[in-house]
Amino acid sequence: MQQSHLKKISNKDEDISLVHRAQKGDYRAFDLLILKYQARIITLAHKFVNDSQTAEDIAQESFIKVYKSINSFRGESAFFTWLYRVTVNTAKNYLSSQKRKKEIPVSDISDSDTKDPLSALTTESPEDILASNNLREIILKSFSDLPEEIRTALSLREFDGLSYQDIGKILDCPVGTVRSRIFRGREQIQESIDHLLPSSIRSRNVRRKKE
Amino acid sequence: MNKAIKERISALLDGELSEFETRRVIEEIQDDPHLRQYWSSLVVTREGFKEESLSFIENDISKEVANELGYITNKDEEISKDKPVWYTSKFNYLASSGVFVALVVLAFNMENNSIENTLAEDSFSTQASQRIAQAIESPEAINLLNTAVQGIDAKLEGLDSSSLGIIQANYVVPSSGNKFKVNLSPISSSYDISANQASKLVYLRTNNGLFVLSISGNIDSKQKAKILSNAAVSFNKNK
Repeated sequence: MQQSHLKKISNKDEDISLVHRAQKGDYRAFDLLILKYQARIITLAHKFVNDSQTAEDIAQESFIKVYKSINSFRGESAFFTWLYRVTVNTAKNYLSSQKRKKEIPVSDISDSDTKDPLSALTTESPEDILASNNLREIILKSFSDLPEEIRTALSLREFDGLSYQDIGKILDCPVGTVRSRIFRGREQIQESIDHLLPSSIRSRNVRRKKE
Repeated sequence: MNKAIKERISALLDGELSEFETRRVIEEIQDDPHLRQYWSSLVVTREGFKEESLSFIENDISKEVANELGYITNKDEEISKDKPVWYTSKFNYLASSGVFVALVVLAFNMENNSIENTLAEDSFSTQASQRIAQAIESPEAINLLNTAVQGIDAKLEGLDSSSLGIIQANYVVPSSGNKFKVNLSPISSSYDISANQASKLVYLRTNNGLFVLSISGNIDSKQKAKILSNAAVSFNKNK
């Protein structure tokens, strides 16, 4: 996979505006956060319990805990970092409960520890790898076929995590152009994987219905 | 689905929208459940760049979570088809009891003058909740809604509200199945009032600030104008 040597410039939490909406009682914003992270959270829980149904249950419980405690989130770490930590503790609590150990309350799970949790998401079971390889390969192949200016903008975003503003500075173009290029890149990739997506989220259905 | 909204959803995924824009996009996603699907498909596209597993992309726990938190009434309900995930039974109750109408009249009955572009930060929702009991019983409330949708083939389906004081009534046109929404909000929490939306809005000034009545969804411009006109006339009558 392509890796850039550029250092990440922006540490802004990309979810903060949705989190703020959720903190104001807008559940729709939290719903988008669930859709955004559920696969990763179920995957994480699965690493602990090695059972899909239990992993889903743990993921559900984690999202529920996070929503109920959303107002205690102070933005000292990224939202996903906090969600990740809550999930880890929920999974540990589950395992502990199997051994009749004391539960770790969610209030003890602070978002102030800024250690990046993503580094822990490195091990995949052979089944996972087999299941996702095809999709990932097509995504990366489609990415490599993108026009250079679009590919560069998307690369700086996806691999380097740069903000649109920083990408604009590097590419010497307005933020609006960056936004448009990233969107166009995603659209093209999406077209290439559409047939592999679950029908419930297939964009081709959307286009047929709406256009 | 137009490209502009899809591009904004893509930007939202990257956290590149302001809170104001975020709120607008969320509202648009509410108007069209297919946009929610589009969000999910973008997530998959993006996850493909990461090292983590894509094994669970077919699992969707959002309904279960929403149900546990009391945001949907029926666990088996297909959220993506008709009702957004945040649709709740209390809104059915509110709709049937005429609370929305009451709230509209509550806002309108506050003393009003002329249109202006700014307002104090008074909380409409607080005002509304304090006086909702009286407002429900207001006969003027029923009259107002009846007047606003007079001549429109529309049926009230449900009601939504937010902590920001935005009240949203959802209508369906039985003959076509088309749906549209009527929103009442303090201007401090209203949508972007851009030039291309101006024809869908009416501004109502009260002592508690400026309110915006707007219409969105699948309804033609003639009908929109008629509803706005009816509402304005009714508002003036209730001064």
